[in-house]
Amino acid sequence: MAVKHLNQQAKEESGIFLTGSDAKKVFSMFSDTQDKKRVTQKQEKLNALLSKTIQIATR
Amino acid sequence: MPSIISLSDIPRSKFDKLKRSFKCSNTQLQEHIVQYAYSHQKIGLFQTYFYMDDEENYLGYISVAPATIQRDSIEDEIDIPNSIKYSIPALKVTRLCTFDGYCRQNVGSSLMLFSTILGAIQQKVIGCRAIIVDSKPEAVDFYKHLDFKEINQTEDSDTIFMVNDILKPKELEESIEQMVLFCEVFNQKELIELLKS
Repeated sequence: MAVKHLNQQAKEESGIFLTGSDAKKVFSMFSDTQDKKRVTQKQEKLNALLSKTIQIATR
Repeated sequence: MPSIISLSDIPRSKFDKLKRSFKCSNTQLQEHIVQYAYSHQKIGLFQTYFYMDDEENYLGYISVAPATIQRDSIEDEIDIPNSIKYSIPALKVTRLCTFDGYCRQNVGSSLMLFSTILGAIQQKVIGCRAIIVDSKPEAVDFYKHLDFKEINQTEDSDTIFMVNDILKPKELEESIEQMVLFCEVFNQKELIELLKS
């Protein structure tokens, strides 16, 4: 398993190359057969973060 | 109210005056904003945005770039779904900085949420499925709080690769209304039409 930068000369701006279990871990995240519960949790989390930030900015 | 301002909307003469006030204890982040960010933007490489408060103080910045997540060929022992045969288009947060004296004012979180909005727009326009960062070890918990998943340390540096799946377009629709409100509050009105399209 490994996480490598595609461009060693500019790591900060570089894309990522994955192998082994790291590749599996990341690419499984984008599967069509994602757990609906996980999707709902992510939607709720994002909406909560956006709402909180809007509240802080407008108070 | 605070605003998010693109570096490209700041004239060079104004930026040269402003940058004298940018103070960041991380010398790499300081050097990037003072020396490189403007020229990167000018030649169309990477985009930088500032967080500005209602008194026009600049509190921090975020730089972003399109990037891809690529992988080795599928091996028998790796059960990568067949539906994912391609590289994953992503938006990479290349730098995130809160200037000295402005920590714990939600600056970093606001800029990171803005990057998710940019990712959503990139998804609509050219494709994007994730926001990615190379996190310093001390920032991992911050990104986890923003729903990033810790993957592993990169082989060639001390950073930790982290991914936030921004979901499919249909799933992301649930958040468009809040994103539009965010853009109204932070004066990024030109993005609203793109979000609604």
